[in-house]
Amino acid sequence: MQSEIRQNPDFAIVKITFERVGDQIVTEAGAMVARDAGVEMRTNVEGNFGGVLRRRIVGAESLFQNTFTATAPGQTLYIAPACEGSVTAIDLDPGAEVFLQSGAYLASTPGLVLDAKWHGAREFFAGGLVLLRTYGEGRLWFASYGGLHAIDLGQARSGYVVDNAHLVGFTSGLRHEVRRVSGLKSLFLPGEGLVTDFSGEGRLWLQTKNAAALAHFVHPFRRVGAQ
Amino acid sequence: MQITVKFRPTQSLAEVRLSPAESVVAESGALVGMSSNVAMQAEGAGFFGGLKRVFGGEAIARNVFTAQGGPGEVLLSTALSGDMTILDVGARQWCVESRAYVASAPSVRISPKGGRVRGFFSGAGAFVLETGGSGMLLIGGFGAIETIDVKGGLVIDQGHVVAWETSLVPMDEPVGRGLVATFLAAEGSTRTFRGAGQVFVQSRSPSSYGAAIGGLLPARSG
Amino acid sequence: MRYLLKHAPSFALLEVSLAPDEVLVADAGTMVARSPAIRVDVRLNAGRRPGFFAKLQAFFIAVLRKISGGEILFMNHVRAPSGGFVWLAPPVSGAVKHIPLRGQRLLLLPGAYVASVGVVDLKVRWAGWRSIFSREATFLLEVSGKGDLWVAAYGALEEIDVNGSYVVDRGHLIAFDASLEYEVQGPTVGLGPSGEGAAMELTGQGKVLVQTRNKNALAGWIARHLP
Repeated sequence: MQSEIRQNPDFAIVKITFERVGDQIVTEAGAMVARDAGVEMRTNVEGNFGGVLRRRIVGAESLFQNTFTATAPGQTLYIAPACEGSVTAIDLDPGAEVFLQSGAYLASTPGLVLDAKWHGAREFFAGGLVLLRTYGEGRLWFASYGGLHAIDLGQARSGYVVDNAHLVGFTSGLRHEVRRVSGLKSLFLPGEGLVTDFSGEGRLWLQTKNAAALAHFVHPFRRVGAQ
Repeated sequence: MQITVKFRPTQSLAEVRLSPAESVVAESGALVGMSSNVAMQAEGAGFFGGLKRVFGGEAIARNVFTAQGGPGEVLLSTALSGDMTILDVGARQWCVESRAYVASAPSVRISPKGGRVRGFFSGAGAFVLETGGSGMLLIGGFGAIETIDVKGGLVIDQGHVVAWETSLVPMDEPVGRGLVATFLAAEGSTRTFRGAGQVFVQSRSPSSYGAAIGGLLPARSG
Repeated sequence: MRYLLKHAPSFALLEVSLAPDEVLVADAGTMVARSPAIRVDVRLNAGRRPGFFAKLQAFFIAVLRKISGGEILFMNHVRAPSGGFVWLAPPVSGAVKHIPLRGQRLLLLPGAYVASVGVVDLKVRWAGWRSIFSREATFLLEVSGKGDLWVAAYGALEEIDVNGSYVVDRGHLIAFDASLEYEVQGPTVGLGPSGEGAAMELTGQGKVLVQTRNKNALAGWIARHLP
């Protein structure tokens, strides 16, 4: 299977070209832009989740996934996230793990497992952020709202403080602690004003834009209606 | 202090590099991240009190970021997609739409511009800031940011104005025909600038975008 | 006629300057600015030589479109008797593509149409009863003739060469060669169990233009962050 990320950093789309019959990719529900009619689409109720959590609790979005399977060589599939911004792909080897904000998940090859019940999840979840532990062997595609900015911690930098609304993910090996900071403008959502202190060695990914800030901007333009 | 704007022009992120003990002042919602040795403090109550008294509504809240024990780094961003640009305050002074303000050096004075001004974005909570002193000023816009050198007059849609030189005089009613700018919109809510100086405009209209998306969202209760 | 695309590809703004004998037919929602001597007549789009029934059908479709949540298809007929220019861009930004028309026929989703100049015929085509309940387009705009056409994308614009059968998510579809057969697929209301909305299956040989973002998906994504 070949994949190409096009139109970064503003409106990225991934073009997948299946090489063999049976080649598969798992995607977030709603990610499909276009596909060869011969590509089979199946909804994954179980999902690839190691834990029981299938539905994201922040908001009512489901983490249902679709599996696309090629029925002939050369078939193509285009997938894209809902938010404006970039898509990045990383390859995971057995033993490696990456922690990813669930809203950033776009797609993965079948060998990857997404676990929402890892030991550190609760700390982030208390702040309204669902982080998935991703492991296995394969490729992971994730999206950022805005551009994706990578920060390497270790020699050059010993620690970083990140606004949780901008946190996309990080590699294992980093120590993390979530705390509330006074003085940060609190928007109307719970969990705002939360940051994570990172230290150790590894990489963290930030997105340059902030979904809560966009929601705050758009809120006055909503129709007023009975609830 | 060094400011580098990355991911231009759409997803811009400002990387502010501070020397040891140096500070940058930024709008509270703008923080993306910072190195661990940067201390953050809310700006003094005097500023808040002053603004609230004049406008009786939302004021811009700012934080002061100071690098301690070595050089530091602060990452800043804006709520809407678009570009950011650095203005030099000193020989020229600026008026800035409050929602376009991102950050400034502590040596730049920021104060609300007196007098009643019609809202720029959706009307609510928008006002104009005026600079004093000298140093760097970072502003952000919705879409691309263009600079127009005005000589005589300019008529422009309010939703597209981001900042202007204080040598220009803004008026609510268009005076004669003037020079019709790129952004004269069908809505007719325009502003006229008289004199000579620079105007910064953003290529997208926040209210048009808000209206286009807002209509697709679930209704709100109030 | 001369044209210029500013701020492409992500915030494309189309600048068209007209000769005194030219008429630009522009979607009313895309007019950003114009020079003072420009004359604008607002017309209900009903084709070049609309008879009474064609006008009635266009009106009927426009009303239904409004009820189903889409835009009313009003056009600005723009003339510049003493020369002048207009600036056009849809409020939700992205790429704008110029398509020279040399007698071919194209089918557009109405939101994609920005403007045309020349001997261009615009006809409203009913896309089928099933689509009236979908939040996305209830009809298609058939464009044919000789002249210039501009289409807009939310996000980036991708071109797909179809040779066989291709399925495109309706919210991502911009335009396609009228030589392709099309069939509406998928749920009539909202999202189906796969998390995907309605789709269009295109069969034959021809080009399809897709946009890499989808307004309804954006709204759904923002909605999760709203109070």
